Amino acid sequence: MATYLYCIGNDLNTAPPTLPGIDGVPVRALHATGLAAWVSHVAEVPVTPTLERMKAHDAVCAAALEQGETPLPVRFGQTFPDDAAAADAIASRRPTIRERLGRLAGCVELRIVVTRGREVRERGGVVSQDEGAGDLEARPGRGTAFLRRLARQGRADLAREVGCEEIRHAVRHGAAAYIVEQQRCEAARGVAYFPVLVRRSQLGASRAAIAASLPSEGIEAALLGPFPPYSFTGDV
Amino acid sequence: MSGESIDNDPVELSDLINRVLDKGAVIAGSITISVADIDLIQLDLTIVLTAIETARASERRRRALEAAE
Repeated sequence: MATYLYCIGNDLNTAPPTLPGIDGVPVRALHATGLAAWVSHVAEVPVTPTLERMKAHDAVCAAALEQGETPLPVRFGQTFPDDAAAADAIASRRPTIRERLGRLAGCVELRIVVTRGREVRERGGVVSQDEGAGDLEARPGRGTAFLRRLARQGRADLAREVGCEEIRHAVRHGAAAYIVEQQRCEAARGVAYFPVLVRRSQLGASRAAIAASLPSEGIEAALLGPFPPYSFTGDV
Repeated sequence: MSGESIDNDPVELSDLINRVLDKGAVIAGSITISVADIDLIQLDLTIVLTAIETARASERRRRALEAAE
């Protein structure tokens, strides 16, 4: 049985007794010279990512956040041969982990996710990202249809990324008073997004200020969170 | 919190993957993620996202036609 690591904190000394982790295995606290982590046993190494397992990982980190302290969330899939190896790895990075925990104390991550950008202007005319979506049968051939589909996808990706940068700029100015830290825009898996770090004590006001900064004309975006600060852990 | 709010919304699921697989502290130990596994999950999400986009496009076209009439 290997040890699977979810998150690290100063005060994660006890895990909720019924908190399920990966594959429903109960989560427990592991002490590592002044730090504590939440871990569970896993039978399979490496741990194959599934949506259920990723949800379980995230739920454990969220439960740690709900306990009060802002934990240092760990990336999915990190396992150690046993508890001692996990404790050693954490202890060997204690100064860095302490510094990160101090920097992130009292904060949570919000994420602005852009699912659709404005229509892309091309060759002087407006080209919809959905142009031709319903009439592929009328295209001259499969190759042409495929290339046109790729072009449409490229336009949609570009529009999302441009929209994301526009929103990031607006949020940086409109909600500056509430943002502790802000990351750059990234695009992955069909969305463009950027994370911001805000104070838990100002969560409601932060959400309102960010939501008010979101341009709505032609850009579809969602404000998600609060989450443990996955995007602000840096290299440990 | 996130663990309670994540349902089958494709945007939230896509964000979950981006957050949990790509971010978070990396401590020593074993972290091996199969690209094929992620691609399969991504494919599922892309299909759902595409389906939503197509539905939204159809709705926009329907409204445009109604407005033109």
